[in-house]
Amino acid sequence: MAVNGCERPMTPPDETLMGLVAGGDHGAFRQLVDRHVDRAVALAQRIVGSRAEAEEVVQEAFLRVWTTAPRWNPEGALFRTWFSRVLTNLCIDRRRRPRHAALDETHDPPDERPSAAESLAADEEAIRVRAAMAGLPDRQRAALALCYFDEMGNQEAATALGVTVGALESLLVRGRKALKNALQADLRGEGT
Amino acid sequence: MRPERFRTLVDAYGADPARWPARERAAAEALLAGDEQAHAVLDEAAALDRILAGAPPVTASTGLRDVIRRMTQDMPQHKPLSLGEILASWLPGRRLWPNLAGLAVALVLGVTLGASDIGVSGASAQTVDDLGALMEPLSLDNSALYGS
Repeated sequence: MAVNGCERPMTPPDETLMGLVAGGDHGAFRQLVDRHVDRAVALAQRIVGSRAEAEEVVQEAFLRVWTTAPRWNPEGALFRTWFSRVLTNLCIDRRRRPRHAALDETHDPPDERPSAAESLAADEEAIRVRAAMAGLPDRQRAALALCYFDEMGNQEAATALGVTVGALESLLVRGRKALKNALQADLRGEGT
Repeated sequence: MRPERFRTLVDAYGADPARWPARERAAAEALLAGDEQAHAVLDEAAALDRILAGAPPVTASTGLRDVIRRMTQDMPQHKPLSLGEILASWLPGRRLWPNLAGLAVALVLGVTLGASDIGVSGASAQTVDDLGALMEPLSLDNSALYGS
């Protein structure tokens, strides 16, 4: 659309795209996937720990976007918040599932070792951070992943986790305290 | 803002004021301006922030987008049923009809039995009569006790 003689690129909001997806529009769905897939994998990997499992959960979450779009009723919530909630719940469910079930359903066993890139870069600290995150209870890890790595505001993160802002803060305080304890050696190095 | 709240804020959201809840940011920064202890709390949190910020970024693998698109290519959506679709599900030819016919037969039989004498109420009346006959020899004759 030309506005004052200038051409502006059309970037429909997620909620408009969801309306189109509800009508079976594959192009709109593709746009939603392109827009959110990287942050979805990043968020899922911070919660479930392994990349293979994270990508499986992300596939499942997008499948839900497609199948439930005609019945989608956000009740005022943004698509991003609703999608984060779906994804976070799937991640936590995945973590609670017995290990053998996850192995049965994956094409490749989840790889808990550091990635080749991390090993090559000898990024020991990144590996220790990942291990410390993996040692946290699921909801504390999810709260940190949403607020810290996904850059969500507290109200949006609380909605995505289905808790109050007060409960979210409590999860964050406990999560950061546990990380601080697990990363004592690194923190001493930071102090010098 | 009280120092305890400032501590909780930093313990939860880290040292970067941009992460603090917007409605508390100004008050927290005002406290920070004149409080040495608040600075110590902030420095401690900033060290953890720096370590966490060093975590490598994660992106989706190159094939994932295609996998997701292919997966939904022929996948039906869960559309809400319209009134027409609900009514259409009752049309002849559906498997629902034999079940409905069975229910109708059961209903007619039930009503017929209920209205007839061979129903449950008839059986109960019969049972009461039988009990009365059984009890008769046991009944007391008052005239025998007190005389005529």
